Amino acid sequence: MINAAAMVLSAILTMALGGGGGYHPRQFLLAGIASLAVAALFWRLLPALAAPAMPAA
Amino acid sequence: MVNLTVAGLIVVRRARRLGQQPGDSGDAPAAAPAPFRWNLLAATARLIREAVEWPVPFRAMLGSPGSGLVGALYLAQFPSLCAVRAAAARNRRHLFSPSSRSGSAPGRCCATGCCAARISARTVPWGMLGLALFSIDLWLPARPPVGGTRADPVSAFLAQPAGWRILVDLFGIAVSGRRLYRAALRAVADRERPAPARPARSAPTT
Repeated sequence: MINAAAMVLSAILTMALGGGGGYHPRQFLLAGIASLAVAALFWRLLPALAAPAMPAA
Repeated sequence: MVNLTVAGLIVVRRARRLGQQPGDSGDAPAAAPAPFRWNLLAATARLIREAVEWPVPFRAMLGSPGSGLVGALYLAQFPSLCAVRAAAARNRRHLFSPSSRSGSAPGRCCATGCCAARISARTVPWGMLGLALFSIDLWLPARPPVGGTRADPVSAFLAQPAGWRILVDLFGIAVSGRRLYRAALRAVADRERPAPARPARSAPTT
């Protein structure tokens, strides 16, 4: 459900940024900058996330 | 096709045999499935309320669709990107798709540590950083050429350094976002899930 919600949110964002369709390469730039912020957030969360490595199935 | 089917049957039979416990005949009935909840919104709200009590898997669960969100945004732009940077309508999809999809395999190798066959949450921020940097780098060559859009054939597209740069960026986005980031987050969510809800034998990554 959360994945589906993310997809819907992405579609809404794309429509909002695109302003009625067409090609908008600046969306790559905006997504990249937003991803930088998420990367910084995950670096802060890393001590909580990182536990001893687990064996893969 | 027949060979593949027979090989698949053999693999499944061997896997089932390996999965049996000593003394288990393999014919024992499986546990009864939980009843299906038709009210999906209520069921989702209940699951989220339960997940909030477990901060680490909850954060992993919230973060996991992040790459899907970015990926869906890119997918919406792909047809236009193809139209602007590489024409040949029949071929352009075949040009971009292998680049983004082939990133999955090396990304999975990185996420699982190849030889060590281990998954670590330490790849999560690196995956998102890679996704960010490749996305920003994609913005430059993805801009329409000066003088309007140019519908180059695929050969002309590949003859330009910018064309290869786009393909490398798509490959890097696939490696970073789909595997280094998402696979590791899913593994974290699977690892930290409360024990009763964890399946007996599951692959933590996809």
